[in-house]
Amino acid sequence: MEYQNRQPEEGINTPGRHPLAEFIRLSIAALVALLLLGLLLNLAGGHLAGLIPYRAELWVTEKIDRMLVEAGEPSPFTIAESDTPLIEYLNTLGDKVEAALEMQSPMTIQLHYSDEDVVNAFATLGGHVYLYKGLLKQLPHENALTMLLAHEYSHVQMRHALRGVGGGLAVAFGAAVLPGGSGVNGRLYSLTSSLSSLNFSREMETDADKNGLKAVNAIYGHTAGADDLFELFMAQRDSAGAGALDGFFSTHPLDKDRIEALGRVSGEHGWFSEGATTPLPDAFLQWLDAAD
Amino acid sequence: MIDAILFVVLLLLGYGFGQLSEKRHYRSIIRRENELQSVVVVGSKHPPVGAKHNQQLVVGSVVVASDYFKSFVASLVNIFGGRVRTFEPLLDRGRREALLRVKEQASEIGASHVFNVKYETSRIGGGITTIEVMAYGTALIESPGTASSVKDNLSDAASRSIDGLVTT
Repeated sequence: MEYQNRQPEEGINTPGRHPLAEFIRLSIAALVALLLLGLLLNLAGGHLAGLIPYRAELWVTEKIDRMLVEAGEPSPFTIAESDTPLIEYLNTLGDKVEAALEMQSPMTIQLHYSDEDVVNAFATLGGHVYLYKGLLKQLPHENALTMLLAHEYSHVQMRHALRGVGGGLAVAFGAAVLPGGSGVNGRLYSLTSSLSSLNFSREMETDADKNGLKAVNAIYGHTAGADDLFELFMAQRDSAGAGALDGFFSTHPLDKDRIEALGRVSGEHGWFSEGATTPLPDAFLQWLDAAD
Repeated sequence: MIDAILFVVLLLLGYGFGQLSEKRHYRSIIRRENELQSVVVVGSKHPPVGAKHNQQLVVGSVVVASDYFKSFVASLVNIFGGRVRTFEPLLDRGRREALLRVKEQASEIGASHVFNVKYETSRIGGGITTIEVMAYGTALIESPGTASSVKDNLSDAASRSIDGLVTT
């Protein structure tokens, strides 16, 4: 008997599968799994957050406000004491919207006006709605302004800001427990979950549009002029040069889709889509400049 | 966006260079394994009785790094579990290279057999996976002027060996 080293066959300890095939198989599986995980967590977190009583939301925003004010930081939740003609006018219109949307106490809106030249408006936690001069000065008539207010008030009524935070927190929790969450898997997950949260965000916008249109119809007896708000956004985006993939990577649905959706909703409810629009007060533009 | 481009570039570089160096390494391994087939490495702890030989520790150590592509695919496997196929050639190369270095060393000092050969593997560094594979054993060197050699006395040792790598 004699010792001998025989050369074993190649490939015993190696996979025998092409690494690219392995890569494609795993990448697709991981993308699907992570997309589902992000969607599920976003949905669950958003749903759970929606169950939080509105009073609790107010309590939290007031607490954050106090902390920020004490630290000398700007706070988005400070209740503005303003009695300018602009705020008075906006509040009067806002009250009509609240009534039309049947918003009930303690759900109240705090309107804020900013003289920045930004074409935007948003609603955040605690019923704080921000309107920017850049947008208000371009509004063609009161109906478009009412649509804008009704859209933002709908976000508050439907608890969208809080649901967004809840969904975001649940997604972040997912990243914390995911194997390899701090590495490549984490980055892949953040990509898929941001796509899913964009999807939810677009759904929220569509819901706020539909709900808002209800208020416009209740106030004016028709929905004419509501879509001018989105025509305005569309013109704005066209001049800024929007990309072809904007519908996919945007927090908002495409403007033309929103305009079409409004027309559909009007039709479904049998609302008049034709009618005379109400002009804005003559001094509206002066108010915008004065209310700095 | 820059992140995504960087990621794809790293993945392509990792795949390209990783595959290239792996193929090149395997070619070198197979060639040297054939060249050094005369040096017999055995797992047995029991050298042949009666042979006159000197003994010397021979150590072969190699450090191999994974590439971005392999590590990425491995991290995906972390989600589902299962065989980490991209790392298997890495370890296979590490073990065979370490053993080759043992054989090269043994051959240089004139030993025809290495007994009690063992492997150790450890992960070193952070980030991209880097492994060290070490193989070591006891080389038996023929003492000059002795009549009986290791080879002559091997059958005796083999009969008592239970953990020899290959026995015939």
